[in-house]
Amino acid sequence: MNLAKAVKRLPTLEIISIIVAVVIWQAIFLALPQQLQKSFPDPVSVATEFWRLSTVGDINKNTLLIHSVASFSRLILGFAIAVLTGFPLGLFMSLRASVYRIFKPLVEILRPIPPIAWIPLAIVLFQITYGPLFIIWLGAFFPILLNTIAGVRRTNPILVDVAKTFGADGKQTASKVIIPSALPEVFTGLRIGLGVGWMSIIAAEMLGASSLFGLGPQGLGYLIYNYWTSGLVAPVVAGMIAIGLIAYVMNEVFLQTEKRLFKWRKEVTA
Amino acid sequence: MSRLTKRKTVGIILGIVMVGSIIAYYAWYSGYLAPFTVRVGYLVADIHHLPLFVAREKGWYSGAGIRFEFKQYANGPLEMMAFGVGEIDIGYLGIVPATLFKVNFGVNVVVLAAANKEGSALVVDTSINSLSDLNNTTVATPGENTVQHYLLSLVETQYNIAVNKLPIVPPSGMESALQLRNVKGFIAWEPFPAKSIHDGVGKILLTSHEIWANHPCCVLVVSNKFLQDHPDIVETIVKTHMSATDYIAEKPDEAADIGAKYTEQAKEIISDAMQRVIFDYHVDKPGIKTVLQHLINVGWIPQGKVPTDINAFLDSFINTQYLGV
Repeated sequence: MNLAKAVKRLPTLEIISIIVAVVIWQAIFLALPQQLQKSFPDPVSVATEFWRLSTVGDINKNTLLIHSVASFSRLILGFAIAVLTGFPLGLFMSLRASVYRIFKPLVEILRPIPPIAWIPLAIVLFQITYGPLFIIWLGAFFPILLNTIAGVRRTNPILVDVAKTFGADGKQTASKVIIPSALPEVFTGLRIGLGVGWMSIIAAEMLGASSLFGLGPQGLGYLIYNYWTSGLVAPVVAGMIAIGLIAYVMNEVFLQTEKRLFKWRKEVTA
Repeated sequence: MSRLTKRKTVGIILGIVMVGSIIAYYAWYSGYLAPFTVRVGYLVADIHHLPLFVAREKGWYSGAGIRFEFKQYANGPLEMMAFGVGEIDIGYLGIVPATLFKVNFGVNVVVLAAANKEGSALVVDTSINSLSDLNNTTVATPGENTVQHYLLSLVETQYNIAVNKLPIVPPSGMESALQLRNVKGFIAWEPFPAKSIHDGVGKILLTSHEIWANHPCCVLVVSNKFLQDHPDIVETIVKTHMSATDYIAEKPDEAADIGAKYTEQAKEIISDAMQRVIFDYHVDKPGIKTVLQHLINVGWIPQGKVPTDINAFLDSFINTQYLGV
């Protein structure tokens, strides 16, 4: 009985899906003309590069772990700034109609501009050191802001009325009713924002990745760009896989936290 | 039919034939009747590609009954990928991406001629007065796998200094970085150094001539398939390239006008930049061999991809027969 439960808990389907994807990848590689095979790496050469980058490192001896930590540090800083700006602004925009009207046009104009388009201005405004943080902030800020607005607006008006009936003032209603009610949406915004911020990392580190731990420039985006401009595709794919794996772990951590924090929300636990 | 009507009819027919002939000749001359199109790639706002700009401006690509299509690329690796997927037939780009993508990515191209030699400079903050002042400071480069990065390494060795090399891509961001004191200097290809000086940001401490005289830089390359299928067209293109290079030497002022138009920079910037670029179509094979050896030594060409016979590789990579030299 316990064995059956344990087997059921194993991520069998997930493992099978990865194996199938690798098999399809290998099949695509084998189906390519020989000339194109030089430019499209097979799973074995990528795995070899992944191992080499993890143990020996790149030409500056920076391992995949060092590049990952460098990128992750930038992400966390840029993301933290996005949370500290996006969440309060979202609250104000949804609670005060005048604030919403002031910021709405700006948000709607700036939101569709891809982070990469900001690179020249980012250097001028925030220098090489902080430019990547700005790009990550741009990626994470809007999902956090918009989900906060959506969360606040979805607050059940009956709950607000009840609070007011019991004598709660504006601040109390906001802190005891509106914000807790909006938190699941806010959390979803944080999860999406973190994902978009992570996706912006390549653009951010193409600005010019600085060295965080000595040994030359570091960052997964920088690693990928550097190997791409050298025509070496296997290490590029190895870097892409590292980005994907980290994103997967971050997303899982967020989802699990979300499930634990908001058990009371059917939509979340379902 | 009256005689007058007959004359009118003949006149109209003759007129149609004449106008039709002129249009047909013009269409042939401009390449509209050409059986296929030659696709030429080049890099955005790179003054090293001035021979291409001159030939285009002078209409030298027309008149041979060939249709040309010109495609801009943001950088050399992107242009080499365009070669790899068959998007272009011939192109101007740096020797480093051409070599790296030939060896690492398997893009089958051949170097036909040099576009230029030298043409880069080390620009520094006005507080820097000597190379020793640059010791232990941060200097921007256009990327670790570029000629400029290599030139900066040579500076370190030649002058016994060590700098923190910060890659900034694209190099248009270097001037701002210098102005904001984020870096103490930058090394880039022209016209970025000339533009920086023109804008009053920094000064030139070393030209690439002073670092490595006559070093190879941009080249004219062709896809091997196109070369095999159309050697006559390749010959025409190389001759056009040679004429354009000669024109730059003979009429630098007019060439600067053309360079300004194609790079969208002020003429004085281009004229100044041209002072530090050698427009020479002769291919420097030993120079290219030095670059290749450097790429192997630092690891940009991994051991598994290093050509077994470097001289044989260079013989297959460089074809100067159309230069006639």
